[in-house]
Amino acid sequence: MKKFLLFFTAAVFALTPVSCDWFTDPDDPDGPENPDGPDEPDKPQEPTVYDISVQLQVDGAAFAQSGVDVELTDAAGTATYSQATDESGVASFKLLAGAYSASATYKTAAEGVRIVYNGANANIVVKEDGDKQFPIELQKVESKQIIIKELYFGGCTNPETNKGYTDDAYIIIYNNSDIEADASNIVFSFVGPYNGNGTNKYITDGKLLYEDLDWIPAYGAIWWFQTEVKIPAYSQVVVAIYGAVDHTQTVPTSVDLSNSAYYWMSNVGIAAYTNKKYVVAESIPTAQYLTCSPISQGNAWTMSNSSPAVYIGKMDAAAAEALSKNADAYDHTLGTSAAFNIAKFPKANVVDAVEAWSTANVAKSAIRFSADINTGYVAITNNKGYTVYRNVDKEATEALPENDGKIVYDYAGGTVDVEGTTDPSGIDAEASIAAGAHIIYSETNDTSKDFHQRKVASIKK
Amino acid sequence: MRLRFLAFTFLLLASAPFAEAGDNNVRDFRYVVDTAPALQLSNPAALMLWAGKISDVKLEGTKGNGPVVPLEGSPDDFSINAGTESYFRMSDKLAFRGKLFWRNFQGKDMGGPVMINPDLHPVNFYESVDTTKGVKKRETYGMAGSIALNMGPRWALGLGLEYECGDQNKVKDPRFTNVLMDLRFAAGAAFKPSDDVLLGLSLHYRDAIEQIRGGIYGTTDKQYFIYTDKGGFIGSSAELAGDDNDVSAESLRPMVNNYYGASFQALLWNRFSNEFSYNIRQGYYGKKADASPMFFEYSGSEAAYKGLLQLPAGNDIHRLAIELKYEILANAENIYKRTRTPGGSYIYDYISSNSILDRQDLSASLDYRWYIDADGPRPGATIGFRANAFARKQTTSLYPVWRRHNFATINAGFFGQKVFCSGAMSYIIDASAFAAAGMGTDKKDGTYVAGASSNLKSFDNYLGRYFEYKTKPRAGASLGFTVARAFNGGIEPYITVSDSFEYLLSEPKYLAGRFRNVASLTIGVNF
Repeated sequence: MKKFLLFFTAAVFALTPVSCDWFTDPDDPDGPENPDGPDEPDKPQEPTVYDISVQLQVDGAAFAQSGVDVELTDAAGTATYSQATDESGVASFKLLAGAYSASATYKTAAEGVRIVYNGANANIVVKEDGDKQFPIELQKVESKQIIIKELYFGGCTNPETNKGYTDDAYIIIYNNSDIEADASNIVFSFVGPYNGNGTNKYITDGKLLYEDLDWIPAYGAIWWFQTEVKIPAYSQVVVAIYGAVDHTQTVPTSVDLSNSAYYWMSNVGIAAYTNKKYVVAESIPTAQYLTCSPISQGNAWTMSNSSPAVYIGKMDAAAAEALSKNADAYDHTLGTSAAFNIAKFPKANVVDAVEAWSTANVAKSAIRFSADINTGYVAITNNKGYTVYRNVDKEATEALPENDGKIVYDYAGGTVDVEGTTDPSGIDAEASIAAGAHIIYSETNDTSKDFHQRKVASIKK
Repeated sequence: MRLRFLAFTFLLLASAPFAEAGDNNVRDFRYVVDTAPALQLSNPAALMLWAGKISDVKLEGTKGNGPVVPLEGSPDDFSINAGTESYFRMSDKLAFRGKLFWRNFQGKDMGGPVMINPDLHPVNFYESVDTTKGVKKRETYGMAGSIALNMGPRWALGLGLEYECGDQNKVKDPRFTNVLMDLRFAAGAAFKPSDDVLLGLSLHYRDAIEQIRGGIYGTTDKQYFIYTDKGGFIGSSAELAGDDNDVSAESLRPMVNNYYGASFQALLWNRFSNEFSYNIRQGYYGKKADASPMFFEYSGSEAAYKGLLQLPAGNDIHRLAIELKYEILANAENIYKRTRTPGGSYIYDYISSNSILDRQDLSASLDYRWYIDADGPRPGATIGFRANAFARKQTTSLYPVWRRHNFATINAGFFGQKVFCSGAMSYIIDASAFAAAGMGTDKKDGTYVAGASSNLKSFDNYLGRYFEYKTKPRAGASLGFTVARAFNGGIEPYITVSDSFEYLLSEPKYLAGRFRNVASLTIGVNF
């Protein structure tokens, strides 16, 4: 019997040193394979990766520009790979199998006009037996005078009822240049489906029906100004979408849209728009009412309060009204009932666009703008008072001599602390404007580069 | 819950076999089971060696205080455990083991991991902040039954089934509902080539499923985020909303662990038991369905040895138990592209399955006891030494980032028991003392390629607490006092009060304090 006891004791002691060595020596030379030599003794064996190249293109031809950063983001959004292009406009990556989206932005200037080449390819699938070379088709974007500066649509939570309140939506257009802009012919609309995560019948095999056509959907209505609207340099116009009143009187967490300088998308004279959301303060002059001719059936212009894709265009009131009323030209891809009437807005008239997705539904969402209009999206959570706000073009803003000493940095208005986004320029645009600075906002036609989720509506500061 | 408890009490009383009349020699249940080598074997056919009847019914209340707890623990908890366990031989041919239990746990200030037992899983979910701690309530109940059928003097067949189910709820936003189901099945055969030798072979299957779902009931102006720990506390973060992220706010999502394996047993002279086991583990998280993909799939295996040696020496018994276990586990993350059909349903195109975790665990334990004056219903005194060691070596590979995470821990101590008898009364004092420490590397990070960035998060606060809890040197002691009285008819009620205390030997950085105290009161009956 003693033999067994001895055997046990011996076995336990024999195992002890083995386990200690095995677990506690962090620089174990017999550890996993180490391709990079002794500098990184703990580096595990690299997983199977594939050599992928991404070629910049303009109009289908190679765009041989070196030094352009190409960014690849994996489908889960957890890793980003950045490589600069070589002389032939090719960026090379080593990637795991997976689904990626690529984007590239190249900025230049000619004769005082800022020019941006922007493009994306969201259909990069890397697998063992798949393609290893992918293109990014770049669109040439010349700097625009009027842009969308902010879209506040997600509303806030009414602290008394604990329910979301979204009657306080507004949009701000901005003169992003140093000369006065005429916004009289600026019109507003959005692309269907309403929500980024809605069933999108425009998409077949990952491609939008109008990707290569000359129009994009105008859903709900096209709104136009009824008077002349001038926007001074680096100034803005606020347009209330449903209620041009002081919402903070009933919902303290909301915004005050009763400022006499603000405009209002009015339901006055529109028989179909009977929704109670349409209210206006006496302080808003009737000359600042916008109007429309409803395209699709509904009791209001039903812009999504979670994930709209909104754009502004240039079109005079008569043309906008004619386009809205031309039922014969409606598109019915989304549905045949009158609620799905959609006008075909010419791409050539589109001025600026922004696409928002609901944070909770990013995985279910799909891009609604064709790549020649806008790429990318910004994720936003509604009912939190958050807003979609434009990023600052740091180089251009800092280059303005009058901004010397007026730019406020250390921007903390973004939402990275709650897993959202922020303005990578680090410039606090509203604080800088208050300090007298002129802000030039980013224009890449890529919402993910041009916008972020801001914590507070800018008219609340 | 009250109804369940009543039903349980009824089952418990109905299931307890009554002792033979006139048997006044009530033996201590734990002592009898611990010193029966055949009962240490996982093969239900080994019950063929069991003779007689013994049972225990007990109700135990436990109060725990102090922050030296694992991430899934509570600094202020209370639990009630009720259970009965019996071994009895029905006839020359049949022997049974039966067990019923019910546990109710309630802990305050609980946040952190969503899963009930995070160390079991290769992937875990954590609340992103620790300001959302709240009360968690857990109720589990289960039953186990084994039967051995003697097929003659040398052969026996056995079947065993254990079933446990339960649920846990957190009652503060973000809320989580956990639904547990754990089923174990064993079938075995035992053969006695001679009176001194028993050989056994058994097959085992385990199906353990924990389903989780998140929820928010309070104000809608708050956002909650959930971390997905893909190993070593590195991973991604997503809002608790909708049905698309790793933890759904809408539907229960299963973490499934299946084990298939076999054990070989050899018991010599009814004093020296040996068991070698090998199990294959397979599991996954999520389910392949329209609205939900399979997020992770993992597999592994474990090999174990369990031995017990008992040497009688006069009226004394020397008992030595050893367990060794080695487990490997690999996890892979499924990469897929999802497209929505015009009909509104989803199609998942699985592109690849990327290996993200490689884990090796080694554990060893040794337990030596010297039972003095072991010829009565319980030994007059016991002196013992026990030691447990555990080591983990793990690599998380989330291209372009990797993380190493290694540690080893040891816990060793002495324990003793002294019994004072006065007529039918027994007074029992238990005492123990231990010290524990560990070492290792909590994280060593690197990247595979240059020019890549990732918004993967390192959950350093959780990693710190985990690592500190595992490795911080500590010492502890316990003291218990039992009064038991044997009655005619072979019934021995008893009551035990005990308290155990442990204390960190240096100031912690992440844990919220240095001590942990657990007090318990047990009322039971040996019969």
